[in-house]
Amino acid sequence: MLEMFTTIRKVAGNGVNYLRIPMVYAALEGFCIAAPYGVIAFMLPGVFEGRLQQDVFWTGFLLIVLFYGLRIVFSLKSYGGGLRAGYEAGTAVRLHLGEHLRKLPMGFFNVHDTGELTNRLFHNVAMVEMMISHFFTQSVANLTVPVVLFLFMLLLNPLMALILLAMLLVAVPLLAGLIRMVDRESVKRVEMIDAANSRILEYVHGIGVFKAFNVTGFGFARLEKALDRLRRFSIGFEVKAFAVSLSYSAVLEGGFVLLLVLGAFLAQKGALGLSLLPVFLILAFRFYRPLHRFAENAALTRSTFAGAKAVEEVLEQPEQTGKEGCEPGGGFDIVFRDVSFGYRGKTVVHDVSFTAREHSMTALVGPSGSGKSTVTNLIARFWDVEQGCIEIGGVDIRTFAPEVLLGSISMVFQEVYLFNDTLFNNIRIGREGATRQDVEKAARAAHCHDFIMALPEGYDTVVGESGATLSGGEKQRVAIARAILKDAPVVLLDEATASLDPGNDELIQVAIDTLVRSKTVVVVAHRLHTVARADNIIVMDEGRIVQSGTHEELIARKGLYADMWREQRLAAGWSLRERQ
Amino acid sequence: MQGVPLWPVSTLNCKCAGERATMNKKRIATFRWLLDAAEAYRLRLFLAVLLASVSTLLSLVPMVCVYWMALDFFSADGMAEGRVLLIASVALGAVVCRFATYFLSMRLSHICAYSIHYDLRSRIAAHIALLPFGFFDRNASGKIKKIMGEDVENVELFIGHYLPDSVAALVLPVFAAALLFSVDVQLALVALIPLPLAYFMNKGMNRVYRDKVGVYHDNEEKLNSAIVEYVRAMPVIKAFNQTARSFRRYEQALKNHLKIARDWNRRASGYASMFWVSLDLSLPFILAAGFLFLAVGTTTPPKLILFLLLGIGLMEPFGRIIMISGLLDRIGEGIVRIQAVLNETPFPEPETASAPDRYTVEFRDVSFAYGEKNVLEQVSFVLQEGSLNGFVGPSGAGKSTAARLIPRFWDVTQGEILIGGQDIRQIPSAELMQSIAFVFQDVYLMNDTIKENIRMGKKTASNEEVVAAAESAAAHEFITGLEQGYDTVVGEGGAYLSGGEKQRISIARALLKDAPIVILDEATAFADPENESRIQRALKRLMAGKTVVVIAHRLPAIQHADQILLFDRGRIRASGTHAELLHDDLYGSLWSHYEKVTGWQLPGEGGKHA
Repeated sequence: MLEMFTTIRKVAGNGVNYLRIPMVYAALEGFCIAAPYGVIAFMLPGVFEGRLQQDVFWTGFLLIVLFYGLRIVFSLKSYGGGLRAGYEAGTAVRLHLGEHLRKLPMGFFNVHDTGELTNRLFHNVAMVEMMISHFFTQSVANLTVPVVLFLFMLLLNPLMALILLAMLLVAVPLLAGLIRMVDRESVKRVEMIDAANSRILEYVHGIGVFKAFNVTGFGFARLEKALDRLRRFSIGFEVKAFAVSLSYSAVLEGGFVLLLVLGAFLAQKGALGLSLLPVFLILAFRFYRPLHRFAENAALTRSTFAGAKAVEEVLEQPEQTGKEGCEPGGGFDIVFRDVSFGYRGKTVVHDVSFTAREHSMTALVGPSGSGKSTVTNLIARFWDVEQGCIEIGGVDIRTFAPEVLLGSISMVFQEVYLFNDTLFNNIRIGREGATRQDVEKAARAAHCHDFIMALPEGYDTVVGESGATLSGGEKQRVAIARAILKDAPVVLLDEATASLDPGNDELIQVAIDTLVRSKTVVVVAHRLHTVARADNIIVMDEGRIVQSGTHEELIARKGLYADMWREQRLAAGWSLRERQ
Repeated sequence: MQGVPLWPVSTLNCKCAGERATMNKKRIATFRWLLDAAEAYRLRLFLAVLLASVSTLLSLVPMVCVYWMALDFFSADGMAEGRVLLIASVALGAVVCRFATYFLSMRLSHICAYSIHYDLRSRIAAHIALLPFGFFDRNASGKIKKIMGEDVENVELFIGHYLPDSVAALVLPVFAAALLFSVDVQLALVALIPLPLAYFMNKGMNRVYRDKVGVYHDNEEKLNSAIVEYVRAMPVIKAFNQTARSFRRYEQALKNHLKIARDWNRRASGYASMFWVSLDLSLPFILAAGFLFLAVGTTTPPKLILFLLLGIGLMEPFGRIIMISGLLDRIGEGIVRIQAVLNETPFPEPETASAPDRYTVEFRDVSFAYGEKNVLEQVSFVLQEGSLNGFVGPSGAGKSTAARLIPRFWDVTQGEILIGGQDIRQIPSAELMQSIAFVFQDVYLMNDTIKENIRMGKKTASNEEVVAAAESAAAHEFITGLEQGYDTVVGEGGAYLSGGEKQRISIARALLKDAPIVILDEATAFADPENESRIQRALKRLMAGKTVVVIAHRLPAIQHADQILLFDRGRIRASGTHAELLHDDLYGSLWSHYEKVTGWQLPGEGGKHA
């Protein structure tokens, strides 16, 4: 429980403070739950023996009613307070996590699946919220009750009370063992669930291929194998967990029976009042119930605890920062000085040095995997370099906070994300506060005004999730309109025109030319003809710069560029069948 | 003090009788479906429920033993010799039996639960394999995954845990009440005094729940989509410094969430905590009544002891039932989704199975619509056996759709498609798939070795055949360059290979399949520009001697095709050879467009061949 609390504390930060007062109330509530039994304990023998005075009984009764009244108040406070702590802390976690996410290097988002991240923000935080709402206050109450009852019993009969405690000491290691087992096996189980889930995904994604190759049975068998493994393991896991948790409960219950027997012997020997024994048993019964519940909750919470751990992992990712108040301004030449960078233990860019001059277009070309996209990503601080440095206007870009740096950069990627919003707003994200005219002007420049006007609601058309209702080329042009509107001094284009229809492609080329005037432009391209007019072409291969120069210079020389040019030129006119 | 796993707490009672009836009907339908799904395990499940009920009844025994002992204590003769041992052994026996039966019950129910879980998943998997491709267009893979994943898991959870427990929770108060009433009617009635209070508190909770649940779920959805957008759009958000804006939306949803939660808390937590307290409110009533009844002699100390042990917890199971009924509603939604998938009608298989012996492909007046609007309208053409056919046209003209109708990704809305003179709907689907190979842009690789991925083309292929296919597909070189060669396991979805490499593996697969009809998305060749010419050579090998359909994006690729079909707005605008089509305005403009954009003088009609 303590470990859980530390993790929750780390995840929820100050949100946990909301729990303090409700936990105090929960303890008071626990006390009020137990207290009436203390009163009963001292009254009942007299009641049974018919020797208790009326006024004493009713005084005691009033005391019990008072405890109930207090309990209602405390329970309201602890329950409501627990809930409050849950949603307040949950919201705080989500805000904090959201803030944190946007400060992470963009690279983080390339290696983490969006489904996984939304899961962290949505389901896992909901789990944390639930844990905070109920688990801690309930546990405090569930643990206070037996403590208070134990004190009463100690007063009633120390010997019996100690026996009760001894049984508990036998049971606790079982519970601890259970929790350890659940932890250990949960890891294996999560792996197996992941395996089954990825088989399901494989099956659903690959069903077209499976069908096409008439091997649905084969794909099915793979899925079935994973599912069967999961089934076997899960059954084993549950059965083991039940065996342990039930022995915990059985030991506690057995303790009750032991007390019953022992009490009876003691009573027969006259060491325990005949009327006291049932009273003691009533208290003992009340003593065990919250402990059962505590164990149940602890086991249940344990498995949701994994969610909190996952959130913690994300929170532990280091944020990217910069120097306060620094922003690019002294010119926009981009200079790479001996930059090396890699991820997942593999160096992707080796000792790269070059300068992309202001008001010029620099193209990065090379085979796939040569590191050219990584270079543009490094300019935008998607990742930070490991060796060397990158400067803009003579200043190391790590001096600028990512959001400040990105303020000076327009980027157009191959993949375009459109918000679930109107086209107008989608373009306007390029520059906040842009007027209708500004937006239309940018849209015209990006050649998307016409197709937008052809839509039934024009600029007010809402584009669906991921802009599903627009074609790839249309989305691309919207992205370019954004970049034009942003009018940033540095422009990065990563395969912005790849695999588009010839018609779209041409319009986009024109749109990009508009964007390029008077900027520092860096373009990544597969198709060489799209960058043939660049001021400087940098040819990369296996993470290194192997050639650079203008198109004319490069084709005049022997080398990778000339080879690629020849190859692509052949391919462009290539036909699936020779002329017959 | 009690385990309330979720808020808003769900409901036992609904607004009005009508609503309650539909709610209950829904629950009953859910329950019935669950039992149907569990058919093979019905007996075992019944046994599990029975054992759980026995176990819960056994939990009463130690209390009864205390009563039994007290009877002796308070009797005139006191406790008889050996009596204690008897009582102790009964109590101990009951404890052992109780946990043994509970363990058996849980073991059985979990075996059933995981087996049903497994069966359901297999059933869904087997079923969706029979569905037309259209189904996967309408249903995102994420959705199907959710159904096979979470929704089925909830069913498992219900059967494994909640079914025996809930029946036991129903059985316990009934028996306990019966026992208490048989011992002392007066005291039993007193013990139930807090029941109306619990009922009204529950009603109050439900009123708030009803008021809030719609808003709550709406906002939950908004929050979810705000989160999805926030994460998915992160690159754009960052690039345009929109963190604040996008964050605001997310923040707004969170604020609403908070507002609703606060409101719910303010209005309902009083009811909720009172509800849980009221379930444990019998003590003062029993105590006061017991004192009075003892004084007048209508009850005895042992009876009072029994009530103080048992009567106090009498109403606790009601809390459990409320939690479980909420769960039933939740899994009900999942079950509706599972049912929807299982109810999708698969493609009907022809009654008389016959395979085509020739491989001409003919469209006769084919119309096709995904929804309302026809994507293809009255399209007719013939593709001769062994010929190369190019499908060209602006995007959205219907060329890809037409190609995808041949392997029956969907069935035509009107008209018919014939292979070797036979309607494809009369050809068994296995046979049809065997005669068509397609190479599309999105290549799917399994998380398995490269060898196995290629061998999908022909399950019986030897290693030599696999290597030969890879060689023809220009894939051998890069495969052998990998550390483990053909035994390299490719990542999920083939993530660790480049687009072009995946492409070549898929071509190798198709080569191995050696089907008489080849459908090719020519954009495929674009995936890997630096290997373009190698891929092109591989494609040529693939097409040799087959009936080939090429969905062409770059016109030069099919300029020497036997037949070019020019699609425009769902119809065939013109067909013929390249030379014949150059007279068509649309074709001519597409051609010149291509030249202009690439900036390359292409070897067009009469030009020099590259």
